[in-house]
Amino acid sequence: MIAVFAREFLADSPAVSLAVAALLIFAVVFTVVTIRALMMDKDEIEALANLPLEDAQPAEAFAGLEDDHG
Amino acid sequence: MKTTTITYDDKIVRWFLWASVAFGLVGTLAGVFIALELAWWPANAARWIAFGRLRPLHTNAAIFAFVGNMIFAGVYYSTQRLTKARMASDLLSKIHFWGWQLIIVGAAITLPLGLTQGKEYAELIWPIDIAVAVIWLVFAANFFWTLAQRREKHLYVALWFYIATIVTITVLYVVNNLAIPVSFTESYPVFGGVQDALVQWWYGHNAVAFFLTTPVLGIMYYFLPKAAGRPVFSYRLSIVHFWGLVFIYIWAGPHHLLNTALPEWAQTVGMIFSVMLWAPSWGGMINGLLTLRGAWDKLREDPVLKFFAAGVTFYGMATFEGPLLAIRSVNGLAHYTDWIIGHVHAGTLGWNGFMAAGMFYWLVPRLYGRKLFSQAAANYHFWIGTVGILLYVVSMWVAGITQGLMWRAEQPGGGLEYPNFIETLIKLEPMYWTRLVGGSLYVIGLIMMTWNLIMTARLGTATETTVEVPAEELPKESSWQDLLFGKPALVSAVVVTLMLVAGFLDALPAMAVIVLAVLVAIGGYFLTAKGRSDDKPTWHRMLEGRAGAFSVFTVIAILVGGVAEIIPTVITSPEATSIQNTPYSPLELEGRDIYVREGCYTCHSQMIRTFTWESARYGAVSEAQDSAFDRPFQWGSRRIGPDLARVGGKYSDIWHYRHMMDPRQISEGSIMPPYAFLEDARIDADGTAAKMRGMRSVGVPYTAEQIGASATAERAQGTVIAANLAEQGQAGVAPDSEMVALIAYLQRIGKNTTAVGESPAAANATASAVEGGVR
Repeated sequence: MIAVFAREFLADSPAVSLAVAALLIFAVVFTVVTIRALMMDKDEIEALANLPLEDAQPAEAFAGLEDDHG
Repeated sequence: MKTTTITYDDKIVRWFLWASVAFGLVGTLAGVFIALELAWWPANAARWIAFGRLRPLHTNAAIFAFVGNMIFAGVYYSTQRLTKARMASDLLSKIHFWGWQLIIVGAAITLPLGLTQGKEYAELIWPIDIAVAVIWLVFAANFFWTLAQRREKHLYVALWFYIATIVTITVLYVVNNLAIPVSFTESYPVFGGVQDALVQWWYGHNAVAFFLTTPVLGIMYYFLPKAAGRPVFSYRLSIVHFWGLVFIYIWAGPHHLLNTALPEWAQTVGMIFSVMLWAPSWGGMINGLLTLRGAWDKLREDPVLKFFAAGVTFYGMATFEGPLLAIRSVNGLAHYTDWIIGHVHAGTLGWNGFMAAGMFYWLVPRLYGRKLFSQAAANYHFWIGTVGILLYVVSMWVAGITQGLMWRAEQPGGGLEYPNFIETLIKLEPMYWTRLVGGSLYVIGLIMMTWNLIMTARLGTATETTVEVPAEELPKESSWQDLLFGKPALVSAVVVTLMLVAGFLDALPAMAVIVLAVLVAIGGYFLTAKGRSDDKPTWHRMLEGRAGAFSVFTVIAILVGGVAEIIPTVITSPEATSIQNTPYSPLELEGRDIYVREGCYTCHSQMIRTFTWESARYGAVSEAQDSAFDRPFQWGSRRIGPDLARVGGKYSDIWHYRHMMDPRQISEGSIMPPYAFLEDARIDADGTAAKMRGMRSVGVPYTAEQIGASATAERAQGTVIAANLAEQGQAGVAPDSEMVALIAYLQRIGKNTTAVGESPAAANATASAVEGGVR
């Protein structure tokens, strides 16, 4: 049955099978990435998420901005 | 731990920031002006500022000048801090900045002059394209060089988005601008017709995806946590968001070509992947908004968070609406209408514009070492801008749905309810004025922001950030072999192979192979988990630590979709097999170039879609072979005027002449600019042969004889049309005028099919012999 669908689908050009291959590649990679993301160590995740907050920017001087003019 | 002191290059950040502010004003003012031209046609006061020429200037300025400079400011600022390294080369940074601004100036000069490639968001002529490619590579070299010198091993997710932007835009821009130059300012694309359409919208859609979206998402993932003072809501979600978005986005281009002559399978693939985009897009939006959890109270006071929150919300709105519009039935109503214009402006004004404003309000105080000059003005900017966007978007929704419904409305007894296109346009006039008001409000907000930022900078002092960073070298990177032959890579390859094999088997064996693939996947997972130890990095961790390898995988991710869509279309395109088409005559070719130069495609489509109401209004449904020799294709994306796919022979030469001289003389209520100057302008007959040679080099079957006799053929055809005009009451029109050339082209559109079996050369000879006979 699947072979029949495949033959009909590819009737225009066998090159259309590229789309099916690409879809499968996407599905597999996406699944792997999702599993990887879910299985990551909590400490590792926290360390990564905090990277933007690490720099020595004197942020507090500008936080809670007070209005000079109006 | 030993440390060393470095100073970040914030000067380059300031330069790009101010360039973005300036070009943001220019781009949006151009937008307001062309909005006025649509509401009040006399604003098209000269050829250089007519809608068809200024619209590309507006879009290019908004995308590449405003958002481009904003992206570079954000990337330069955040990359240095995330890598704990100064940009690798100050010289490359400066070349990047000045090169990019020169490109923008080049665009600002050439586009009003009508020097264009005639493809949306890819209008810049080939010398500027080369400059863009070179400067982009300068940026890429500087960025990757900085990554190589980084003192932070981990690549934060924002850097992933920057990497995806750099590699993808490189591929897209180069492929879509492959062209054969025929002069210093003119070229013809190597792809034609349906191929060109697919490649163009693969580029066009992904210009939105990888220029207006992924880098701004990177900026969101860096600046939103900074502004909120807390880490991103879910780093796990950001990983899934990245890979999902990068893999899926690249496929979605064909949704710009639904119900057209594009092969059905490509349309279906484009639609399905567009709908799939809902998931990662909303994952990103949710991740952004939930980063503000516990900080919502700050929104009352802090304009930065206001802009970020609203920007992310507009991202969510636009990425909900996009997949909705990509559903074929919805697209049948919305495509070619102002609904699409409303959609893209929700994205550019709401997502890009507000993220830019939030970033500027956060950055300028830090770059100049003082508080924002006026927080109240920033808050007013927010509300004025928001009202402006809503007025703009809602008016375009109403206009689009109104016109879409009017186009398809049929009388109870059959026939179109509104057969005259002008009827459907006049209804939109109030919406066009409303759009003008909305756009103007948005610009007023930008002016307030500019003033506020300038005052902040004037009262402050440009600062340099000096920090202590680890001095020791990073641990040695994992080898390529470890990555390529790592267990996850091998297991994935086996699973994909098994799934592919299953596709070619009958039901029972196919099912068995699929089950086997699933078992391999499960077994592979446990195998991978078993071999894991604390002292050895996981495969994905190795990948994330190697910027080069990460970039290669990203390229593969984006190529998978692009190649899968484009190669079959190129292989099976009608151009490679059709013998039914006749290339344009020399005069028609010149006329077509004038059509492209004047940006007629910004208002007129050349694609009759597969709907009865379209056939009833415009003629037989367009086929791929109709545009086989069209380089560039001119299917268009908006119908402010009627479709022209089968306009050839529909009206007399004198009708076209009068319509061009004064559109309202022919169509009362028309908003088309007059093109009377075409009567005085002359074509360069000596240059036509070079154009035909260029066309021949990309496969258009011109013979050497036809090319050699092009000037003679032009004069002959021009003389026939001029004689027709004289006979119909308008004497004195020069046969070599641009008016005559354009009429020749218009009379040819949709009439290029000859008898099956007749060779193109013979057909062209036949067509030449009967020139004028049908006109």
